[in-house]
Amino acid sequence: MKSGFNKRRRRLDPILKKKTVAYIDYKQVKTLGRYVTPQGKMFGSKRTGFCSQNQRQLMIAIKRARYLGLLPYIGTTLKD
Amino acid sequence: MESQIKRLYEGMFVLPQSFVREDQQAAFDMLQDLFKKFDVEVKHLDIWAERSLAYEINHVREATYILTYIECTPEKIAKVERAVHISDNILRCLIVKPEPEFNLQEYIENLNKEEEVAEEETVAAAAVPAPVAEELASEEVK
Repeated sequence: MKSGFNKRRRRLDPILKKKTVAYIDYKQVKTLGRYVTPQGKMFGSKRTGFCSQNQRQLMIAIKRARYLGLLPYIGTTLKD
Repeated sequence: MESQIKRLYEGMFVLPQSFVREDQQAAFDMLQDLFKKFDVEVKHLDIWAERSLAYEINHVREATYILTYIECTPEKIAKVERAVHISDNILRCLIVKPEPEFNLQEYIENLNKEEEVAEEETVAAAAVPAPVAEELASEEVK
């Protein structure tokens, strides 16, 4: 009998097609933009498929990009 | 006790685009003076991008991003950041450690190569005349 624990599959990141990435930088604005919703919220690791290290790097990179005005804190859909 | 070990930092400075376009050299000099004041060694200083900001900062919508690589002791970073906060012309600044395995020499070489390629492309584009409409039409038939 198959165990129910195996059912939860990790979806691989559709953009990078890898489980681990060398480094996620705040200057890669186009890439970072793919990991936030139109409202400006970042995706969770379940959606991105990143390992915890990469997900942490993504979080730091997005926060840095937001501070510098490269990414919005609140997306255009909610501003008006 | 102050640490004497110098290390490499990456600094991104956000300036209003109008200010930089007015006099680019003056903007660069302003940053150079700032670093000089705190005895920070500048390894690289150049414009990274010109973009519109994701949100308004100090009633400014268009900004120029200046990327710098500096070498100094960790204590100097706080002093530079404080000076930037007081400054009127710098909207934001972010000084962080560069990514692991970052090589400044390689980065500068790549930049120079890209510039050369871009120059060659512009020269080549200027030399080759634009295709005439008849030529385009014949290509379509083929």
